Amino acid sequence: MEWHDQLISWLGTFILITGFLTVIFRRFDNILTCYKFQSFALAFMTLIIAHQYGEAHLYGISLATFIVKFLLIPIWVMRVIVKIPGKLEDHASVGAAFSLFSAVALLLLSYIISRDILGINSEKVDDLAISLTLLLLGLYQMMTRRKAIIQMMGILFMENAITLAGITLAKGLPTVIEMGIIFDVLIGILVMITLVFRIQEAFDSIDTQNLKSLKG
Amino acid sequence: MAIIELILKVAGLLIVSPLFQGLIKRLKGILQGRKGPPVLQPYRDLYKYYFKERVVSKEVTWVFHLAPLAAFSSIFIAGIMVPWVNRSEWGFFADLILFVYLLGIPRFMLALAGLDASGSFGGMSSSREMAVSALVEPALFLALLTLSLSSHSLRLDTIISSAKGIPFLTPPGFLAGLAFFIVVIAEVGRIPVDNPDTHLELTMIHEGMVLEYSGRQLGLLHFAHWIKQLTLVMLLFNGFAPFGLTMFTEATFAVAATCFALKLLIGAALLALTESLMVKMRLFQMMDLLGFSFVLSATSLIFVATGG
Repeated sequence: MEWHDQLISWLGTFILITGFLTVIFRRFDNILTCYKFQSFALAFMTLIIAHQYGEAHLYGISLATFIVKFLLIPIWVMRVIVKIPGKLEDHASVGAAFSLFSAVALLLLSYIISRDILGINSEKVDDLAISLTLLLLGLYQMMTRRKAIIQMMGILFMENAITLAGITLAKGLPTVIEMGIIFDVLIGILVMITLVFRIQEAFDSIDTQNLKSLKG
Repeated sequence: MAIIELILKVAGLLIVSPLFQGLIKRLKGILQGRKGPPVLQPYRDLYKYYFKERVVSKEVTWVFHLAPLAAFSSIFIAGIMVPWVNRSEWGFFADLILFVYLLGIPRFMLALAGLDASGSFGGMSSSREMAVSALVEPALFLALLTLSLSSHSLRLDTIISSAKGIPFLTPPGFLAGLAFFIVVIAEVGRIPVDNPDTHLELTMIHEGMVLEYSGRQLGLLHFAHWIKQLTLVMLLFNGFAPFGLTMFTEATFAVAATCFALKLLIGAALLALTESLMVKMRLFQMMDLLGFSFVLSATSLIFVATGG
């Protein structure tokens, strides 16, 4: 195998592990660290693919991914988080062991689906399966977590998964669309952080379970 | 030829496993800025246990007396299965599934023995051990199955001799190796999972089950534990990072024996290092770690099964 492909499969494995770790971790800063490393690996992977296929616009996207997802978003979220009082430890509504077994089941499901879509002999089955797993894990986070801020991270992980699928399967989307997505994330985060703040102010907690209680 | 090999292996298991334990303890002592006990201390311990008086609770049944023997013998057979320096060894009974279950027998017997003496610590430790092994066993099995799937064989010797390059340096091999390393730590009862040096009632798992034993039986249980430790570390090396393996009859045997000594040193350093760097985990957090190891080995299995 060529070193490009080898490095890409290692990075894919690394991204998958960070995805699994987000399911295990309970504290918000650990999950954010996972996101940081995952985004870094994603930016690095984009760089490798840009070099492998000589796609000039992917270099720009790699840089944008690095700046926005590795630097801007974590710093921004962290600055806001310190203003929310209380422990940011989140107990999911299901147990850790159950979550891990579900994660494996999701991986298996993604493999079956991607084999159906691409055919058994396609080289891209791994890439699609990893992206699909990350997408489902993000969704799983949003379903099982209670704290609004961690549900927000679920969306970020899903967005990472879509970017991953884009660069590995289609060698990147057109620059305008990629940049649009990145700005979309930035704006989305802004809106979501504001929303989290509003929830905190209205209910004195960011536990979404409390949203059910009626306010006069 | 095979009979000489067998005799050498049996003698090797008996002689090297206390040495390995001594090596780990010494290295751990040095890493923590102490002098550490002498490397030969485990032999002296065994000698001491042999002549020590035995105190047995009058409540116990035959299970209590059977457990050390059953634990020692099944671990000993499992120990013979794992090749050390040879590329192929005991192929006819070194079956992977048998190996996993031979490691399961001592767990079962010791959990029963822990309950049998009707001490409260024994029962508590038994239940903990069962909770840990419920997650460790599938992880161990799946990690070994990853290897077996890439060599299309369930025999440990075929798996080891047909490995192409070093499995640890490929993504699925890395995942399975990492999972297996966590399994090794959990199985030998070292620090993130269990603390071998303490008898603090709130934390002990393995020590709690053997708390009621004394004298020769305790010595036998410790001995079995050391053999298990050596066996698993050797399987970690020869399964995931095989180097310097040869046949018993070949001229390169001396090189292979040197590599074996090197593996012992690296393995001891690895265990001592993790034990010095990590802290003991809370019991409920530990489930996350062990579950993670299960996820890693399952992922690796899926990688191998689909990618080939």
